[in-house]
Amino acid sequence: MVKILTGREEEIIRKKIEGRRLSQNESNILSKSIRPKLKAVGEIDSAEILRRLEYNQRGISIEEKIKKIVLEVLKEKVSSIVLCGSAIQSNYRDYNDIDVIVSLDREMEKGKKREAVEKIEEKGREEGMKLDVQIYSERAILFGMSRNPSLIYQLKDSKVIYGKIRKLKKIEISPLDLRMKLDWSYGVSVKSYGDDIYLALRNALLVSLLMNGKVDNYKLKETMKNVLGDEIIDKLRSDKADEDEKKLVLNYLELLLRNLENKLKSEKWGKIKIENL
Amino acid sequence: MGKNKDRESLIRVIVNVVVHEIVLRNTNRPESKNFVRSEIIEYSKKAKGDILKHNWNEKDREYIRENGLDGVKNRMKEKYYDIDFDESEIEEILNREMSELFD
Repeated sequence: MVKILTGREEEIIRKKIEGRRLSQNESNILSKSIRPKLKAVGEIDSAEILRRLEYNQRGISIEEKIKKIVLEVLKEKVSSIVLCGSAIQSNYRDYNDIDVIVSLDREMEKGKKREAVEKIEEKGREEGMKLDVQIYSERAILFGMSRNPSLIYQLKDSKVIYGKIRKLKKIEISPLDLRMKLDWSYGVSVKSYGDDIYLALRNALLVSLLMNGKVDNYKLKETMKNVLGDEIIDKLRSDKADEDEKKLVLNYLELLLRNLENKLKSEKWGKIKIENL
Repeated sequence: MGKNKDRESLIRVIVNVVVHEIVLRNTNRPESKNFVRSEIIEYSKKAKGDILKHNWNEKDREYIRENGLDGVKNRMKEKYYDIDFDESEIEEILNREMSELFD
């Protein structure tokens, strides 16, 4: 069996549970090693990680196709291709589309960028893949990470399938950027698509996690499940939620938004530090 | 099918795009521009898809424009009241975004 705790650590735990007195050194080991280890183990979603580690031939073939399409369209300008989102997080088992971030070695004019995105997505469709493509310059990714909350989340748990991507290890994000990010949670009503309501709530929860210095896609997914439950999530995503169900989610969203806006507005919020990216 | 829902989605995108452009213009944050632009492209892509699903006549466009205008004014008043900006910016950016989306 794989051991997470050393024999000494196990002995210290036994002593503590039995109410025996610990030496100063043992107390230090308890607080500096045992507790952090146990806390980290509790936060790991082992099923998810094992799923991601599984060999998946289909995934390899999808990634090869994407690489080929992107390089065909953007040629030598590409410095890296990164896949992110549910496709990668579920090892191609549970996803609607594949999020692709392309980093270029130079800036690209807005019109040309849009054209390239459309071309890549079109070629993806021809190959039976629904791609959602974003193109940035290498520089924009590196220096802009701290200004784009969505990108921070996307790059976490992502997979580089071509080249190398330079990322910051820690960033400081400003409340104004989070306030703007929160705007994408406004404007939904019972008249909206269920999926729009789902994404609005997900966006608000993402901001809430960022405000606590957390970038954790699994935690975000878990929080969504805890707040809404699997059934409502499915109904919203397939636009089958009825008016009452939508109202319930919208009421929760409204309260959450009010709470987050107040926190972001309060003066004690300086820049928010985020580490372990 | 779903034209009203798509119309509401469009208004939502337009409001955010215009509000963010005004915030960026008036808060001296050129470094954020690239990314807000990318986010806008991302949402505009969805909006473009919604637009292609239906025929939009002048009345529809006017409805979207008017509701977009009200949405921007309200958001700036309620949320970004601490940002000074010229009211004429709203119509200027709104008209530009509308024609980028529909023309």
